[in-house]
Amino acid sequence: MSKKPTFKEIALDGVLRQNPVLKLVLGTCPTLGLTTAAISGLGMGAAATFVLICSNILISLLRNVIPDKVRIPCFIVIIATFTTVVRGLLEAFLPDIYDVLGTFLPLIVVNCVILGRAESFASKNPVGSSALDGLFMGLGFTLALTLMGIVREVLGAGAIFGTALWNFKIEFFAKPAGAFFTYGLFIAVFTLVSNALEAKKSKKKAVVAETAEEGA
Amino acid sequence: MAFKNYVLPVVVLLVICIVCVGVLAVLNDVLYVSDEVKFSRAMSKIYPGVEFDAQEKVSYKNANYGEVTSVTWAKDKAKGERVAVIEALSTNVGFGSGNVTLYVVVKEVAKDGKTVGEIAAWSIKDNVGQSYIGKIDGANKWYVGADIANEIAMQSNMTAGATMTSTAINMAINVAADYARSVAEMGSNPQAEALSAMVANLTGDYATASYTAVSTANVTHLAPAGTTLSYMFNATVGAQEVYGLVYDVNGAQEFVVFVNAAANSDKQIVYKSAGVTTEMETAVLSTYLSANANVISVVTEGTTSTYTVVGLKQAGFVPKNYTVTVVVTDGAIASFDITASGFVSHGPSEDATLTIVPALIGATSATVDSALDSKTTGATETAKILLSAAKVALAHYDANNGGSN
Repeated sequence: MSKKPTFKEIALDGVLRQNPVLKLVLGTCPTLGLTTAAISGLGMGAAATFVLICSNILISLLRNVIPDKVRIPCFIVIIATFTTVVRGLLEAFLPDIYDVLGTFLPLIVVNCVILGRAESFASKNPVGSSALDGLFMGLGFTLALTLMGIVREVLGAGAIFGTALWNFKIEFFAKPAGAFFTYGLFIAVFTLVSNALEAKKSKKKAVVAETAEEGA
Repeated sequence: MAFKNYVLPVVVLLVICIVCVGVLAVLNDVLYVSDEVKFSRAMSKIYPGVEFDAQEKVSYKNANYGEVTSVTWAKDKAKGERVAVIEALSTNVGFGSGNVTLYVVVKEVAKDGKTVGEIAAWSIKDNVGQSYIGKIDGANKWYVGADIANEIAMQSNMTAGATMTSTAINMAINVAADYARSVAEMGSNPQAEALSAMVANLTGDYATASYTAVSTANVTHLAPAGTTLSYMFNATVGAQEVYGLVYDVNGAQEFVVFVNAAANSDKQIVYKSAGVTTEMETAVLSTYLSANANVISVVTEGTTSTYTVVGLKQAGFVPKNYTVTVVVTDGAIASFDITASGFVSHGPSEDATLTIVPALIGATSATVDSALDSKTTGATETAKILLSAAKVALAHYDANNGGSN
């Protein structure tokens, strides 16, 4: 049996090392469709995080009860239930966000991030770790969508969170082509930075090992 | 073993489904958002700060624009203005013959010492088949501030990329304005005042007839240079179709009431006010108005008549009129030329038009209906308009030349 992941590992994996949007390239549909404004990215991220946490908890609780043969249908039913719940909650209490998310809200059911975490993490780990995994994966997803939303809104609409900054705008960034371009840029920058950090870490390890060898 | 392999998975899945359905059924009741709440949310966005009364269902139709299905009244307490939210449905002039339903806020305001009605806000409630409606949403500042006293013109800057949806929105705005002006008596109603002034000059059955307003958009040819056709009214007197025209000539109102007939011998002006010019009379008498096409001029030499006909736009892919010149000799179409096309994107191809026009040559009143059989593929709507134009010209010719061939 693999060792239980630590809090730090789960947090770093969710937000950085296994970021669902920028590293695993999952949940691309809402990423491209909903990042014209920061608020819609944030709203989508929060809704997906809610579903991630709740479905991870329930799936983890039922992991020893759900037979392997019907695990995927069971996961989908659970995810669909929480998606319907979040849809109802938003319509009742946050109608503006509900209107902004539109058709992407029910599509959370088929979000690869959520089914992916249910299958690869929640169905194999205890409740606490699964809840944390849902939280941090959700945070990573929300962070990526919100940052992309900020960049596209600032450049494409000259505003941030709906507040106008200036009259200058490049409409390309508000259009679908702008979504692909921004997404590509984000992945490139994220990969560059994480590769540089990885290289720095490896170098540091090598130096430590070399020093230890010399000492011996 | 069989239980564990085959029955247990199904049972577990079923139990999970049942529990989830139960939870959702309870939450559905708890989180249900009523139509009233949705309405007040829509209003708080487009017209905040006003408490509305209960919604009142109404049934009002205008053949030109569409219908009104409900109205909700309020009084803007801060300003003391009367406010109505009118739920208006356009005719099927939208994309793919679909329609648009709007909430239109109309309010009465004091301007230059008189009370006028104006569009305060609007939002889209629903639509049928308008796939480009997203291009309109959020840009509903259009029409805001428009005076409802007269027909509200299409705002050209809102049509790009969604022309037909914009047309449907304009229709819905206009039916709401018409309801507010005519039924709710908001603001001034120059159309009703003009009708009263016209009827006051008529006598007999013409004075007691029930006149309804008709759009003047397709009959601009009735107004010679220097005049503006402000309103047109239509009524049936006995077996006769009667039109009443209200002109603006240098700021003064002039009236012409005439009997509409295909045969020139039956056409007559029933009443004309003192300022009506010969050009206005000529325009009226050389005109034959019909539901789908208007004859706007006729030149006759011997057995040949040359007609200028406007084929009126219809629902579907052709949102503009066609103007055609039809030469009829001995009761048959000798030539048929399109002088102004309603062709727009999504409209018929030029090839299709080239197929329709030759098929009409030689057609008479008796054969014109079948002339286009199997010639309309790819241009059904254009064919309808051109056929209407051909039929009106032939009917006019027959009525003035002793019947059909």
